[in-house]
Amino acid sequence: MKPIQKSFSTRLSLNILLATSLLFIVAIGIASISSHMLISKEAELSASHLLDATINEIELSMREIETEVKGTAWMVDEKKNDPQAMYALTAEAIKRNSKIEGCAIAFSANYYDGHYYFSPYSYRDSSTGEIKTKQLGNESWDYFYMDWYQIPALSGKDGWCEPYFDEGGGKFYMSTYSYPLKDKNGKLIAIITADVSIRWITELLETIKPYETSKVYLISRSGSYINTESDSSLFGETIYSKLHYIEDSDNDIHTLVSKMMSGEKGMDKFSRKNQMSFSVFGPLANGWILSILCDYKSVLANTSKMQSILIIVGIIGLLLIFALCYGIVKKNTSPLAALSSSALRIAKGDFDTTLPEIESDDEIQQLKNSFDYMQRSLKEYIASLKKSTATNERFENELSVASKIQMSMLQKVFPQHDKFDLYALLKPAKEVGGDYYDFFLKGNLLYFTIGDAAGKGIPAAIVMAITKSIFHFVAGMGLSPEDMVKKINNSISEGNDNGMFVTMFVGCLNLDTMELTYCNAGHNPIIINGNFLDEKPNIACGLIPDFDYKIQSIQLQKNSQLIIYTDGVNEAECQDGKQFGNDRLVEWTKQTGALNSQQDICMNLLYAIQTFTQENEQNDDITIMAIKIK
Amino acid sequence: MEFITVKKDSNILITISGRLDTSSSDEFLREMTPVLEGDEKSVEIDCTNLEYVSSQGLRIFLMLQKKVVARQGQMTLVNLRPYIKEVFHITGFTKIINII
Repeated sequence: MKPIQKSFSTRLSLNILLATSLLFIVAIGIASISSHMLISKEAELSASHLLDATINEIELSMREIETEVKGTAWMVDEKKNDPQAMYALTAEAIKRNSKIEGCAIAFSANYYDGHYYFSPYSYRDSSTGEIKTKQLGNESWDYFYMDWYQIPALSGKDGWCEPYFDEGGGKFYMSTYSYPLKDKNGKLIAIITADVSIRWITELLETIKPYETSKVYLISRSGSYINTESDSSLFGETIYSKLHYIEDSDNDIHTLVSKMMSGEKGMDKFSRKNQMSFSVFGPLANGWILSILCDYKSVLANTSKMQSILIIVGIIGLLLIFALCYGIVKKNTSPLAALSSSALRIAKGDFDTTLPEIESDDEIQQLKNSFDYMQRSLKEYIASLKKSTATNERFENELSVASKIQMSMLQKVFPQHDKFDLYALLKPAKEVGGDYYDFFLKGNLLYFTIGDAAGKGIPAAIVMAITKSIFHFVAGMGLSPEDMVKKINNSISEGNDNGMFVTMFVGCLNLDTMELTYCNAGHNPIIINGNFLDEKPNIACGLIPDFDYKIQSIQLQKNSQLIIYTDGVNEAECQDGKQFGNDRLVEWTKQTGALNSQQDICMNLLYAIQTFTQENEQNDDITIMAIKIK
Repeated sequence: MEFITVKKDSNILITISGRLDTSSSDEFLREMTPVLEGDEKSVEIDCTNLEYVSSQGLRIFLMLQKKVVARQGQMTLVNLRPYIKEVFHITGFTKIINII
């Protein structure tokens, strides 16, 4: 059997695997897109909540500080007549609120007569943590022109000034909250300030990063970055100076910055260096802006991880499906494979091969039944073929035996006689062996006969053997042809159930008188000198027992030419079914004068017949006997 | 060779066409077995299309004739072609078989 490159099970399993894989890929695609969308949305929302919460927290602390300062302002108003009490007030403010690093009460110029500058100040010593108090303000520290004093003094409103870097003290950003204290007439009494380290804000901001790569920016009203501890590159920069590095084509970022800096609250997406990010931003009450920036890659990092897990699980699942399919298909088709190999064995001739048992009641079972039927039919057919082949062989054997018997009964040596010439030939047909010729010289009597036994094979051979023995017996006794035919007739008729018969012509030539006595038993008429001999139509031997055969006689002359033959001659057929026929035969015998010997006559007639029949197969024995009177 | 057998009561009509030679005689004999072993009293054989008959073929006619006669029936051959009739005549079969 030709080796199958890919088995049916493999092919089917691969197809199923392919289809499932496609479905799987589509499912994963849809799942990943929708999960990306969901997770992105979720991240944006939670970042926005985080922003709100952080703003709230910062504002809360700032309000505490503002309240502290306002409380101190009230105390200043109460105790304004006692300048020395002011020192304690500043120290107490620091004590009460740990976020306040320094507190000053900067009185307006000459509020206390004789004191152009008066500004009691307490601060937390950065190294020891002790609270120290002193008077700020002199010619070299002319605070009236400093932002924290001047802006609230002029505007009359409290507020947070721009953050500044504290070089001398804590080495971190500070911001100062200033509150203008006025009298009943609205005249400025003092500016009360609280210096606040922004460190706690930056520390807070460090803790709210939603993702490791997220960035949180706190930006002042003028655009300076306030929380530069985590990213020193931002130190001394403003959001506007940073914007210089960004191409004008990045409209998204420009729009984002302008939205942010105009104090809007919101969320914007933008792309930077092929990376999609989003920013949630919002203003604090003091005008500062807080922004949380996240890149989607980090947002979706977990989904990517989940996706990888999903793909790995999917691949394992697909492999399992393949293995399962392969197993199931293999199990279900294994009877087919078994059937196929059984069929192969049958094809090789092993008809007794047992077909595999099929348990399922399905198409495979039907196929098996068909195979079963085919096997039995083949077996029977082959058996009958063997039998018929054997019969044929026996039959052919029998034919060849019969043919040998037939040929052995024929005389091949012809008498040399001064009164006559005699020659005979028998050309057997392929399958028929019923013809017979013979002659017997008894004194002055020449007996000759030609016969055609019906049928073929052994039965015909037996009939001939009977005929021959009776012919020799009767001729040996010198009896008449009539007696001979009657004896042969009775012999064959006896118990002749299978319709055996023989046609024959028996002649007896008296060589002294040249009188021919003859008896024709259903045989073709003989030809004498180119004419059919007038013969009484008796009947073939074997038809009717004790039939009264009539004998006839004719006087022959010198040179009389006799042609005796069987029906293989006149009934010889050519391709189109035309027979050689009596007329052609008689015409031919009229031209025998030129032929010298009886052998020539016989051979020439046979040649004439063969020329007539051409390629057509001879369908009956051809027997010719020629006798000439000298 | 073709044989058509039509049976009606105890009559049977057999039509033979083609060549009844040595090889087809066996087939003819097989076909005739039911008739040989049957009980039809009247057997008619139509030989209109019988093209050739060999001695083996004649034998079967003889067997049929004997069997039919044995059961007091009659066999008749009809519409023989002249050269076929001649074969029957020469062999003397016309003396024992009813030929029309």
